Amino acid sequence: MKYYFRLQFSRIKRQIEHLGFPPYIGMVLSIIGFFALSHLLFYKISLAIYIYPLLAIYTLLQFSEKDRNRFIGLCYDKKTYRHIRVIENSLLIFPFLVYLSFRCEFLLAGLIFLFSFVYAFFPPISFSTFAIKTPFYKYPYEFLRGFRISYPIFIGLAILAIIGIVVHNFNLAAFTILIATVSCMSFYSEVESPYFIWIHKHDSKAFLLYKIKTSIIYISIILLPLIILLAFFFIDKLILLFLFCAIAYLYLITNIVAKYAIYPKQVNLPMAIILAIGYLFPPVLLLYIPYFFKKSIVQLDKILT
Amino acid sequence: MIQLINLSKSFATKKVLHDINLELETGKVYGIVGENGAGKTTLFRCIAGLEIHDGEVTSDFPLLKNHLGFLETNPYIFTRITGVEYLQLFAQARKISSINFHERNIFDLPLDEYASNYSTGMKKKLALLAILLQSNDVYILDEPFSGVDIQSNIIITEIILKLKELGKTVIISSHIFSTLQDTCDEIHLLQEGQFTKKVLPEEYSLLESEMKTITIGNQIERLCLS
Repeated sequence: MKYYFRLQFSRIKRQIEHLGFPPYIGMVLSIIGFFALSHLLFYKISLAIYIYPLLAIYTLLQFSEKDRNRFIGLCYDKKTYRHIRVIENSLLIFPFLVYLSFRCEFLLAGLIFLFSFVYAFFPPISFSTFAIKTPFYKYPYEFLRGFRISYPIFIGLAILAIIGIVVHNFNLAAFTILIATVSCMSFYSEVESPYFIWIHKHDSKAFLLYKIKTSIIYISIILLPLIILLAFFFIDKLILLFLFCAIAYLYLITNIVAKYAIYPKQVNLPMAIILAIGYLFPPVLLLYIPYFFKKSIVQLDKILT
Repeated sequence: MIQLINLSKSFATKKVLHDINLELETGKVYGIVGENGAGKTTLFRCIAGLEIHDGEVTSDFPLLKNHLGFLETNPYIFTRITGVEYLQLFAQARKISSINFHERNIFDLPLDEYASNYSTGMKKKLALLAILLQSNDVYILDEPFSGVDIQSNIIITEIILKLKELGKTVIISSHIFSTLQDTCDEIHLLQEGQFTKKVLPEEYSLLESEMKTITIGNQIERLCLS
């Protein structure tokens, strides 16, 4: 069991190194980032106390994938397997518990811990057998699989948007647009094998435009119902809502062209900093997009021509 | 016609392919045999344009890759994508629309289920179906028979013969010699990145026994089984 956790620790270190950070600095930054974001959530949103436990449970579910647990079960005896699951679950929710304790939400922290403990003794919920119908069939694959992985987030966002409307809290409702956009951006985080680019008949420019066009159509399918709903209840914020929508498109396009600009590598530290600056000052993205677009064409030409 | 002219490939300091020269005529089926690590997959990836290489790959097509279907040894299947969506991805990549995938599902695959849950053989059949439905002119099939059940082996053999009949060029690698015998117009032996032998149908049985001798030698004795 000790070896298992040493191996996981090595994997985490390698992952951080791969992102361009020295491992221990990366770990410290992740911890600071987590607490900063937690604080921001509670500072900005009055109903954060309901969102936070959901985020903790969602994190747990993400690490309880059926095949992964089956593999651990094959490697170890039943008793060791249970120990691993309990320790893993506890480690995963530990940062959430620390932050909730800091806010003196001891009861909630205790309930989350209880859930994580009990959950380790149940077979993992499999999200991978039933193929959920989506409106993204025509142009696979990013939104198709991304939506299926993240659909609980979208259900949660729809509920939050409704709560935002009911309590007339525009910030909360607008927060759902931001999270929906970030979720859609995450659909493009996986660097696909060159084979799945190679199969396309398009040249590099047409390939990129195809990817961008698909992403804009599909993010609109996700965002527009939300924006229309919010526009109806917050009519005075109409311009702001359309601005959010435009920024969402800019974010997504930047995300796609930035991905292929450094393809087949993953986004590293310098690139992440450049992108973060752009996301904080969206007008800068108007300069980024043509620059990354040109760089993407150079990278894609190696495969498509 | 496809021509490979002095095709070479190195990974760091290790040379994997050495000055490969080969002419692949339209409407013929070519078999490539060789041990694991002989360079078969690398050769296929070079022909497809998935690897940067020295030498040339020329063809009658302006861009060979747009007319080429490449079946990988272990096709990668994205998680949470159904069989029919995988086929749609490949069709869409070639701008082909309105295919009734269920009607053309000759392998009876459960197309509405997640393809990542398929068995190894089913994944291979799905990937093969995907490139067949693209209506390519050239096919590279890297180990199309491995991991596939006997009934599907028969179907794949018939598909290859049908492709030949339709004037398509097919390049296959396989460890199952009988399937190559049934389909190939010529077989090339690849050893340590070089073609060492070209074998025509009348010499196939000779090649099989020769390969058996080379491959097995006294290896089994070394196991000291008791």
